[in-house]
Amino acid sequence: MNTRFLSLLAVLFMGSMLFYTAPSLPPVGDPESPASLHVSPYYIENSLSDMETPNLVTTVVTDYRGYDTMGETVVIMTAGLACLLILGFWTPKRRSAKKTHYQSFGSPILDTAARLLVPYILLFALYVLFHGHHSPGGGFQGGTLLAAGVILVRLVRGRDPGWGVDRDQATTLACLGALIYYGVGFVTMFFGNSFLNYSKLPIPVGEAARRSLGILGVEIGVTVAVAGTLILIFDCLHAAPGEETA
Amino acid sequence: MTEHLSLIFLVFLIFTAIAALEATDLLMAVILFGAFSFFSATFYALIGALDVAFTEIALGAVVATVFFVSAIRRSSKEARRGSR
Amino acid sequence: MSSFFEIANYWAVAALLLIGLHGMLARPNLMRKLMAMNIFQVAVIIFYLSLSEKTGASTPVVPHGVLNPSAADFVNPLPHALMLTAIVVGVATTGVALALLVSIYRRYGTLEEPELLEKMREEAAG
Repeated sequence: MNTRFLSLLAVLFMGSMLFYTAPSLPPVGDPESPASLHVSPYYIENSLSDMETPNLVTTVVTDYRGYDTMGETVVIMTAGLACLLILGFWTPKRRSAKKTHYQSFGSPILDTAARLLVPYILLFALYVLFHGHHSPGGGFQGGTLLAAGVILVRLVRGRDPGWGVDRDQATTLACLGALIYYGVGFVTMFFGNSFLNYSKLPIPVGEAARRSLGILGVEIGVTVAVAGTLILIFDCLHAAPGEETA
Repeated sequence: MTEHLSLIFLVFLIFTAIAALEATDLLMAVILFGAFSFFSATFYALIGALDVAFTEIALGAVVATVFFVSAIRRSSKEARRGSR
Repeated sequence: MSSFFEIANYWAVAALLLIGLHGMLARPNLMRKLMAMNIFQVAVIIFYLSLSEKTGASTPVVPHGVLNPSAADFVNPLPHALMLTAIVVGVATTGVALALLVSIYRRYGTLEEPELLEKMREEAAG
């Protein structure tokens, strides 16, 4: 077939280039490889004294490279809004309160397991968010776990919007998260300093603690944005058990 | 020790990727894709990238699989079987 | 020039890249093309994370009580930060692509590429 032959040609071409240039890469695990030499020793050695945060990945993501994460939060919010635009007209929103009866799957095992698990999932999500300074975790993981808790209830109970957030509220949350991120940046600009410079926030603590609090504020924004977007995309994609698939 | 263990998981990754693309039913392919995400997250954890492993598990193995299954359910049953 | 086993991660990255590329080009079902794109993305992430490895180093979290961390004790945290955002944006893009696929299925009734092109040609002609 024509398509398969052409794709095999493309694969052969790309494969020959990859296999030809692969032995020039530095060995895996070399501490003197060029990727570990220029900026990253500064990040590793000065992270703890600059902002009192032992988790190096969190400081790099939200403080040293905070501008990229701000753009990424806007990208996530835009993806959620795009999904709403594409599928929002064909997926019915919440019905009125008196006609909604929750259509569970009818299995007592799923119902009981969801009731037991969901409070702990949400609590763990908040723990991961706030403890992201000292252990692996942070804003993205916390937001995803929050969305997973709400999605679990939706999967077990059908499209009953009586628990959690419905589609309009999820859209508001997604945009609010990006606004919180920008807000933290604008607060420093109001006081005459550069955008997203956490050490100039107007809080009366030491400079390292100010940067730590700036990271926390920014991570709350990221969590809210990620949770809102994932719930919004799920809501648009998911069809209720009784709805037609047309 | 964990460097050699991670190489075994790389081999698992390649096999699961080929299996996910060659499965006959779409739902089977999605489940294999979830397994691919899971193996890749274990590989990241063995390398020492714990933040990335946490994010990959929470996003790839949980949320992406749910998205795929929801989208497949909205296509009818004839579109699922016999798809190449 | 590095020997075979010193760069074993990169051979696996090359294999996954080629599997993803072939899946995207050769499979007529649109959902499989999307899965092949995700396989491609995982291969790129493994490439970046293999660049950041150091033998004998630990996770990039400074333990309690260490006041002067040295650069050779911790894995390079910069590619981890970049890949974190890459994974999240990848999942959001997959969500939008699935919304597009559902919308295409609603309109044309099929998810196979040759039938889709046929129906689009009929619509444009008639």
